[in-house]
Amino acid sequence: MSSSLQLNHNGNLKHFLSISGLDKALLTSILDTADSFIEVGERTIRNVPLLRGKTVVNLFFEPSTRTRSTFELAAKRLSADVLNLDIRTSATSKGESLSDMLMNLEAMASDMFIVRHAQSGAPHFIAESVTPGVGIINAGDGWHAHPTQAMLDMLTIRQKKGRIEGLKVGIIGDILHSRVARSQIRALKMLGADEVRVIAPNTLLPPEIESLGATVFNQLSAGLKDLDVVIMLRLQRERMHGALLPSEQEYYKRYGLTQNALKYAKPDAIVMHPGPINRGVEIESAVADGKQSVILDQVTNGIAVRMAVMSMAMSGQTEAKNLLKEAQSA
Amino acid sequence: MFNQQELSAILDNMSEELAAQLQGCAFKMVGIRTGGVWIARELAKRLDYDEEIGELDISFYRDDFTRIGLNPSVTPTRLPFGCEDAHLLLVDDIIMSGRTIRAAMNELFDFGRPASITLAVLADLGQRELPIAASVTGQVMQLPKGKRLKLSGPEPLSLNQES
Amino acid sequence: MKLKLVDGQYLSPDQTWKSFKSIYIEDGKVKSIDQDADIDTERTIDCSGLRVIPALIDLNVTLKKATTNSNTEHSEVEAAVAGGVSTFCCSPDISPINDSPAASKLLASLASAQSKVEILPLGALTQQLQGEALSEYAELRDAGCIGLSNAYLPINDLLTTKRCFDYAHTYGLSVFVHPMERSLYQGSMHSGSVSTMLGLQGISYLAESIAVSQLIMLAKNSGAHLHLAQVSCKESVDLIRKAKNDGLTVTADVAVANLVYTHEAVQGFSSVFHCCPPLRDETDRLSLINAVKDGTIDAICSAHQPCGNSDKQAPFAESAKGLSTIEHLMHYAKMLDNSGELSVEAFVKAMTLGASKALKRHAPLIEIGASANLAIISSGNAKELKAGSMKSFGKNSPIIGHKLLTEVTHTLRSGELVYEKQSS
Repeated sequence: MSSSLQLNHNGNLKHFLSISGLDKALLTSILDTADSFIEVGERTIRNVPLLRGKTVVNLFFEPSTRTRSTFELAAKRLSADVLNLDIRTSATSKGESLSDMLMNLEAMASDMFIVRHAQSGAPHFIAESVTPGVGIINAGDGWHAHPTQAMLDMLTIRQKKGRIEGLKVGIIGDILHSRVARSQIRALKMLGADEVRVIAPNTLLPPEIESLGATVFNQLSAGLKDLDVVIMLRLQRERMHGALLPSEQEYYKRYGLTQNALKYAKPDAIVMHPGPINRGVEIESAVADGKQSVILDQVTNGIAVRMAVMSMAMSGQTEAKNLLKEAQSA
Repeated sequence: MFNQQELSAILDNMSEELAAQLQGCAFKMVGIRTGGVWIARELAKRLDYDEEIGELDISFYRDDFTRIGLNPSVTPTRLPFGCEDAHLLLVDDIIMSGRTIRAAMNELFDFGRPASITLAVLADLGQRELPIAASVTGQVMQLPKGKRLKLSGPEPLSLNQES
Repeated sequence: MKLKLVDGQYLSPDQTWKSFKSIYIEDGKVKSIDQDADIDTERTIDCSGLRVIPALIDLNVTLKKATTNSNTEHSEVEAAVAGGVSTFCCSPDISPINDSPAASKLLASLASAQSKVEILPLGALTQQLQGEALSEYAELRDAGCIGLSNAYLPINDLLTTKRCFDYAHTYGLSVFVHPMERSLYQGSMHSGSVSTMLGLQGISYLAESIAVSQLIMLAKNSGAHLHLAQVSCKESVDLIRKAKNDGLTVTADVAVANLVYTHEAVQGFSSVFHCCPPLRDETDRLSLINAVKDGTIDAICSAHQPCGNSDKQAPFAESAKGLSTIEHLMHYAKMLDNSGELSVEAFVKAMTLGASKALKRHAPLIEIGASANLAIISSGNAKELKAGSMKSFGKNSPIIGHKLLTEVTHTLRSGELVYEKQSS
């Protein structure tokens, strides 16, 4: 279902909604294309003319300055026109339905929507409803998926470790509410990671997480043992309210990544975090700023990955349109 | 059509012409991936150019993206020198419409404003759609309709017709 | 109308298929089977290749805007008879909510204004279905409600639930409850591998089974008749089985969707499968089927909930809940029969004998002297179902585009032909 929605008839990307449904070859080609865009980012003039004349709409139903900015920058580096829409203040508060709003946006001749929404599956819904030819990129939906974040993490791991195959990776923190973790687990498994661990207390783990291919660890030291990659997740402070955790202190003491805790991982393990960081809540400053941290590389890679995914999806839509034209003329 | 020996002779002639044209000029060599890089390497040997050759992947600069989409196997462009005020020797295997050269020049300008660009191509098939001409051309040819010219390489180099 | 059915098979009272040469129907009753009767029939229906079953009794139908939109009410009645249903219970979650004698009378007048199906109103267990204060049970009963229900909304706390049972028993009213423990019943689908994969908040089986065990204790204590509506998981089945073994007068039903589908159907955020109770896992589904077979679950219902197209046009959790199923009950029956999981006979039994047990009514059987509430079914003609051909205004059917395995060709209520499939 989601794979056929994301791919055109030639098996090329036309929407980027979730890692699930995409094979290893396609994920690898996203990483390879992103590598080329990293080179573009190092030039005097960082723009390429690929999406010149195209309109990319940032459709953010949930606030996020950081993700929106990287998508905006990525679109601009591809020479696209960018429209930022903050939906919370406009459409839905006036009772306009999502489908009606999309029709209006399409009337503005948009070519691509970057969608962030609090509801899991909202980008799927939009991809199913939009006119053919408009690409949808998921910039995070509910607890479901954040595929561009996962791919920029994969790119960072590949840069630092030279490969993903055979690595042991641990994801620490609030897995239950994390779309990032779900996409990371999918991507890591598909790209051949040896082991993906989720490390958290049971109240922060979704049911049957093992069915995604992850191994559960409740204890940080045991979970960190032999890891090549340590991925921290942000702990939302509101988790203290819903009887999920008793206090920040108790959590930090048991699951916070301190320099001492990091010693359990391999000496050359890298430390990642999707940001923004809560220093002293899930990670110690010395670790976040330490030499094993690759958090700033993740930010740089985020732009390249988004450029790759946007240009590939736009290309896939073009291909789908051409196929349709051929079919009609035949 | 042309085997390695025949190509070698053409390349010898090209490098002689280039040496004459670029006499006394500290130029930098750039090949357009993939065939242009192979030809650039051959010319470099003959011109005693021992610096690293720049490799240009023009996928992001093609003017037909909206028609044919993105090259699925794009690789990073690698320029081991700056373009600003540099004299560039741009090398490609085959020139036809001129659109590839236009894309390549657009890309080079994003690295800085070169002092000059000299273009060398192995084969010129005519059928130009843009006002672009090579400074040095190895072989001018005409192809029968429906045929394409393809350079195989890098070892051994050969130039063949395909349908 | 005087009718004659000839040359078919019928489901006999011993639950086997019997061939018949003729069935005469007069004065709303089955007059004779395979005996010549001296009646001038107005109509003869050739049943060769067809099967005659008692018309279905559906314990849960949501009419939605029935009382504000007469067309909607009409369309759902048409859908019911097209599905072979002659009687259905109308859930109180309509507009206005059936929590007052005025609302009940409005519904009763709608029901009597048409004669195609028998509509049995269920009154609201709590005012406005809010789960807080009792509605006027005695008045609701006098206005025609045959039982009480809180639709798919939870009751606040156990004290309120206890009082509902005690007060209902005072007036001899049955309590139809979909078991939900409010604090746990949060989410949009079954809590399991698929909810984890899709990042949707899941409803644990505990949200239902804990409520089942509490309701059974409260019913026992009050003496009221408890009907557990649309149970969905194995743990509920186990608790009901034990209660029945202990001699309690508890009855239960299951929604047809929970027998046919599991949470895997939600993959790809398919909002047509957003329903209450949620589709659960394969263990639950098989346990529900076994419970229907052994009588632990008495009845199967459609849990029909027609939704407008725009109501389903939303991200999964925000889309309207419910499936439009009443028209194709026999298609689902045949699906289960084809997979060898549940025979058509057992399915029909649950929607006739089982349902009437929950309603404390006489069993509808095809025998001389019985009311002629019948449905005639054919094996499907392998045509794909199109949304436009559905009678229900709710096109939220999961089998649009599928080939119909069985179709109802005729439905009779009290000897009157209330539905006849148009040959197309």
